[in-house]
Order: sequence, then C-alpha cells, then structure tokens
Amino acid sequence: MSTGDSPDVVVVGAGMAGAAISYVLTRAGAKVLCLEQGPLVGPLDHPHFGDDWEFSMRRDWAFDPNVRALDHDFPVATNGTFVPYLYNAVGGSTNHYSGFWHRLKPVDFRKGTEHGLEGTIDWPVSYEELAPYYDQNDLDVGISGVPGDLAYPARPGAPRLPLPMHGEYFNLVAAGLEKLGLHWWPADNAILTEDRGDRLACNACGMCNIGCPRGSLGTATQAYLKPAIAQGLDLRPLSRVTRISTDAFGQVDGVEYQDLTDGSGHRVNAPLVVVACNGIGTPRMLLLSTSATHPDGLGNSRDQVGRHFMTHGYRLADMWFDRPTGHWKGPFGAGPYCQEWYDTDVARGFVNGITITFGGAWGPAWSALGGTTGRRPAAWGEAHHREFEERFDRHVFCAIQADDLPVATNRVTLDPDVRDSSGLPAAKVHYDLHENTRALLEFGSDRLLEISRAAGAVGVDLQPMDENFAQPGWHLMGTCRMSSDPGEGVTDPWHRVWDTPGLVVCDGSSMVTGGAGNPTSTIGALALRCADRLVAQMGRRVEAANAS
Amino acid sequence: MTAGFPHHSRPGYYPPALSEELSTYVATMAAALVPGGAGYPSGREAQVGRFVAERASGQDAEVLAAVAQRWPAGSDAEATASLVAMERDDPTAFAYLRELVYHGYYSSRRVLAAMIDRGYAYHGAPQPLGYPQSEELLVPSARRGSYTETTEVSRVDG
Repeated sequence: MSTGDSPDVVVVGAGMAGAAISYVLTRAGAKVLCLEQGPLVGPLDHPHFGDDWEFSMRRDWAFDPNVRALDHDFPVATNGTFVPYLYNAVGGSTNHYSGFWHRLKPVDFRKGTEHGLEGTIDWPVSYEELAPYYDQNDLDVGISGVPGDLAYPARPGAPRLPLPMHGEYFNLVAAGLEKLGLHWWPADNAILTEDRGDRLACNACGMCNIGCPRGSLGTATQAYLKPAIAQGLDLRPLSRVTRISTDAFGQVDGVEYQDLTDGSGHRVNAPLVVVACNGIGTPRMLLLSTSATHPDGLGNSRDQVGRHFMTHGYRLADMWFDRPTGHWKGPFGAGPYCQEWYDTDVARGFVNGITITFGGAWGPAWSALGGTTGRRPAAWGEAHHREFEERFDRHVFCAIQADDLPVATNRVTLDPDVRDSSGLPAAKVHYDLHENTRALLEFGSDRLLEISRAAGAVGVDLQPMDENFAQPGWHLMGTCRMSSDPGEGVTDPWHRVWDTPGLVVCDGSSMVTGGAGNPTSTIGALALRCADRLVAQMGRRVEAANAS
Repeated sequence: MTAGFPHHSRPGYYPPALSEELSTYVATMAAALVPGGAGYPSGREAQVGRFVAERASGQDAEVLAAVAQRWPAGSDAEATASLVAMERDDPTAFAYLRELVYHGYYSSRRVLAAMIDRGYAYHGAPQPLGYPQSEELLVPSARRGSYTETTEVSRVDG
C-alpha cells in the first residue's frame, strides 16, 4: 500500500455535496483531495448521440446500480419495496437527474414540532438560516424558472433564467389545473437556457435523466468541480475508499483507498475527512470503518447510523391523450407541478403532504412498452403499428411525491453475502412503506384522476400499489441525520459526527425530513453551509461535536 | 477489473455474446412480434436480430438460449405459435424478449424514417439536434398558494 499524500482534507464522494465542499475549501486555500469511486463522465459517454439511447437507459445508464453492475458501482440489496437509484461517477447522481429544483419550505424544518410521528424531529437548522445558501447554490448551479410562486418564501437573491422549452403536454396539463382552480407553477430546473462560459444553453433534446453532453444541466461537475480543479483540487476518479481510519484515541487520521484501474491500495493521512457518498453510500462507509475504538462503525456508538432512511413516497402514472403531447421534447420530469395539498391537514386522516409533478417521458420504445408504468404495452403482431400510434406522442409522465416519515427500522446496514468488486460488503436496505405515506399516495392518486379528467385525458394508468409495489428510490435521505441531541442523530447541526473527531458527513443522509420535493437543492445548500463553517475553523482541528 | 466505461451494452467493444443461431432466432421472433405494415418495416427488415446480438450481455444470451429451447422459431408460423404460448405460459420471459425486440425496432434508422414519413417530429438520437421551441407555455392565470412561516408552525393535534 502506497503512502505519502497528506492533504488538509479528504472528501469522499464527488456528488453535489462533495463537489460544493471541495470548491469552497479550495477557494479558501485548503489542500483538498477528493476521492470518487466512479469515473469521469465526458460528453460522448452519454448516450444522446445514438439512436439506441433508450436501450442505454435500461443498461449502462440505468438508474439502478444493480442493473448497471459496473465494477465501480456497489450493489444495493433491498427487501423489494423500493428500487435504489444512484449513480457512481464524478458528479454523482447529478449526472443522472432531472434537474428538478425544489427547496424545502419552512414547515419542513419543523415537522417534529408539527407532529413528531415515528422518528420525526425538528431540524437543528431553520429555513431562514439555510436560505442564503440556497440562493448561492442556485447562482452556482444556474436555475431556470418563473419567480413568484406564493407557495414558497420569496427569494430575491436567486434570479431565474427563462424557462426551457417543453412539449405540448405542458399546456394540456396546465389547462386542466387551471380549470380546477388548483395551485400550480412551472417547475424550476437546474438547466441553463442561456450560454454560460463553456456550458451551452439547453436545446430541449429531452433526456436530462441520462445526463447532458452540452453542459446545460446543472451537475456537480459543471457547478463546482470544474472551478474547484482550477483552484487546485486533487480529484481522483475510480478511487474507491475502502476504510476511514482512526488513531488510538478514536480520532480520524486518514483513509485507505483502492485505485480501480489497477487494483493497487493507497493510504492518505489527513486530519479531516468529509464523507459525501449519498444516503446509502455514506452509512455504508461509516459501517465499513470499524476499529477498536469504533467497533460498530464510525458515528455509531448510539446505534443511529443508517436509521431513518427516507426515499419519498412515490407513485408514478401515465396520463393518456388523444392529441399530441410531444413527451420526448424538453426537460424530463420538470414541467408543471401542483402543491395544492402540500401542508398537513389532519382532517384528511394523515399528516404531511404531496406534490404532483407532470413531465415529459422518453421515446418510442418507451411508449411501445406502455409508458412509465408499462401497464399498457402496444400489442404484438398485426395490431402493433396501430397500437403504437395510439401511444407514442400521446402520454404524459406523472409523479405523486409524498413526504415520507423517518422510521427507525427503515435502515441501511451491511450485507454479509453480497460484495462489490473490491470484496467489500454491499449495502443492505430495509424499507417498509409507512401507512401514512401510503395514505398520502392514495389520496394523491384520487386528485391525479380529477386533474386528468379536467385536462381531457382519455385514460390514466397508475402504478399498482399491490404486494409487488416498489417505488423508485430516486432520493436517498436521512440515514446520518443532523440533530441537536446525540441520541437522535449522527451529526451535530454543523455536520460533525457526534462521536468521531475529524469526521464530517454532509449529503442527502444529513436530511432530517424530505418534504415533498426533490432534494438536490437542499443538499447543495447544506454543503455550502457546512463548508463555510469548515473554512471558518481552518487551522484548527475539527473536534467531535460533543467535545466542543 | 473493468472499471469505467464502456459498458457491455455499448456495441463494438466486446465480442458478441449471442451465437449466430440465437441472433437468427431473435430476428425471426422480431418479425412475428412486429410485422411490416402501414409504412413500417418488419422487425426482420429493421435488423432487430443484429441490434440485440451487438448489445446482448451474457445474461441476455443465457435467457434467450433458454427461451429458444422451450419456444422454437423455425418458421414464421412456428414463431407466432411460440409467442402465443410464451405470452400465456411465461409472461416474464415474454416481456423480456419483447423489451429487447421493441428497443431494437425503435432504434432502427428504417423505423425512424417511417415515423418521419408518418408525420412525427421525432428524429432518434436526442443530440446534437435537440428540438426547436414549439409553442408558448402557459403561466398560472391566478397567483394561488401559501406556505407556513417557521414561527407559525404549531402542533397539529393540539
């Protein structure tokens, strides 16, 4: 094992959080090493230039690492109730997202006060404290949208670029929402609609979910890693951290990693390690890093690591029209959204709320196979072409997104039977859909049917919520959450791990609640806030949270 | 160790996983699943067999070999009969084959050309062309919506 590197900080993971922290620290003059187990992704690595791009979405660009099964992925075993979606590469899962750019709302930070169900606690930070970082993250990433949605606090510090183009579906759905007099608004997108430096404006190719070779999509690479490298960041792709090490006193003193290009092992000494490997990868990394002083893994002396896994309740649907929808044009998944039922109303019999989102879908193969739900594939044989033309250009993607509860038994652990290409135990996730989340999804389904009728849809296919129901796990949250009390979380309000000096965790795992909106904006804001604090403490050892 | 790109589903980097026999089987099944008509080519004419052969993984080859053994396709008529039986008796295997064939079919330049002739604006590969602005987007006619301030959050059961 080679040794010799001694940066000020090691950042593990180059997704939104790791990239933003690397950027801020290098700007302040810190010597930062960022280790990422996935590869660099260049423009031509994306499938957009081939007519077989839809097939790539099922294979090398599948959301599920178990399907891609690349050597730089790690397997994720589940109990079958959700499908894990994450992407291991420089830029993390922002290589593979819709750029749907919601913030949390003030109430989302106070759900412990509001109801406190299951493991729900208040965030140790408020919306108002995070707002300046949301604004800065918006500016860094580049957001398009329409200011003025009354469902959110005003954000004068975060101007918007003009909306990207959408297919005809946008106005069809919007007309239905208008007819019912419901709240709706065009979604903010992490998509440039004007050129910025070497990033080109969106040309509405439609397939943000397999990345963006033009640089229009606001990935962690575009927003933070490119400038961080210019500032001196040492970024090492295909470098898998196998263990975070501690000294005899339990303080972090470095990491061990494997170069996946040749299998060689390396050690790096560092007084500060930041873990930003997402809501599954981060608890896995902490649990893998056992030692005499941390026999149950880092940060886990109170048995909190991996608990409170949330992934948003999700039920997907296809809305079918007898008119063109242009579903393959414009950003995927980020058209109009409705937040008429976002806030808790206990008269409904449950707490929390939902967002219903409408968006484009994929191409002709997807349509022929029955759209997002796959419930209505075109017949084979002589009827195929007629049934294909009844489907292609005729459907709209719909998602009912529910604010999930943090449940202690929904948990990431290690799987002793499944291993990654380095021989490390895979992540194992147990997740049960909570009754409250199920009720939210069923309530939202009824509302979606009302909207579809008002929009003039000729049919709706909802993902069946039967014994095989497995929701998409796009958002991985809560598993190393922040807390004011060491017994309720893994880190303090500044992301310092309660029982491990020199260790910081910041990513989706830090989130205490998930709201009913996509989390990347919040992850970016948290990372900038965390990094500001680290810069303020530069030159001083980052102590364990409960020692300060 | 083969970390990084390319993946096995990217054609041209790895030897084909499908035998010539299995490739022919897929082509025959594709012709039965998607016959020509209404200006569209058949699955065979769209070279679906070749598409699948170039991209199939080892797992695909194993599944297709098992499927071909149980539901043979010596002729077009036999292929149709096998598909009827497969759809009825093993929906999972049928869906697997159909997914491969539909993807191959709608990735074909001949099919894309037929779609354009039928009036669709879809042009296959998303880039580099993208799509032009087609219409003005609606904006909400009334400003509706609200949120709860931090200081206003209170117990819902109290």
